[in-house]
Amino acid sequence: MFLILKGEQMKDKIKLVIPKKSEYVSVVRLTTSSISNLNGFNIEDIEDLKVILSEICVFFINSIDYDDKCIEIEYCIFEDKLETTVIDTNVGKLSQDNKDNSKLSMLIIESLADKFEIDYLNKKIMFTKFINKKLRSK
Amino acid sequence: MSLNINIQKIEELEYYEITPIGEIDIYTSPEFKNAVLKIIEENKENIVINGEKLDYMDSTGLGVLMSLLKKTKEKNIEITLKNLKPNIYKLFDITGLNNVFNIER
Repeated sequence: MFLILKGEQMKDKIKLVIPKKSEYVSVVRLTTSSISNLNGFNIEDIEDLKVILSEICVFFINSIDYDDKCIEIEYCIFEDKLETTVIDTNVGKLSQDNKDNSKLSMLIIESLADKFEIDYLNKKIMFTKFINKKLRSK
Repeated sequence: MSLNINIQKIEELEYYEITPIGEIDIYTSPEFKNAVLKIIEENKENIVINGEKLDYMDSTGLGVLMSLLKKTKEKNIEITLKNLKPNIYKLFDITGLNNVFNIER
């Protein structure tokens, strides 16, 4: 579970809702690029964030049938990190089997995100990416 | 951004150079797959995919490349990737596909 610890102040929250159609995944990449650039991520991390969000959308498109509902993406911006939640609002179910059938997507997401979690019941994926982690750890 | 595909036959070296321009993602990868499959099925020349103008690729694009690799092996021809940008090579590295494909860096 993702907890907001005492003292962590969320700066902004942005919500993006797209039709669950493959042609709109590029809109998610463009939006993610803009939000992460505005909030101090370096170029490599911006590319990582675009890939993570894109792969989550690919995962939902391939795993849950489309019935005219949307994918909701919520960006929570903190001083030192971006926490993102993606929810598929279509009626189908999500299970461990879907994860096992999307090995490439999962491998990429798990490699690039600093924290990553799937809530199968609510068809929700949450991940965290810290801002300029390498610089801060020096 | 969409995808354009530039296909050129290099006569003197007897191979096809395919240059995807833009993005190969879940939306555009079927178009890319069909274009390359057509060349593989209609010709015997090797294939070189030039990534110098490819800005983005997702796991769907990687999956397409894997199926094309299988097809070329069946026909005993070679497929080579070259000039991949760092953000795209990174995906090959993460997934271990850099050990599966012939990649010129």
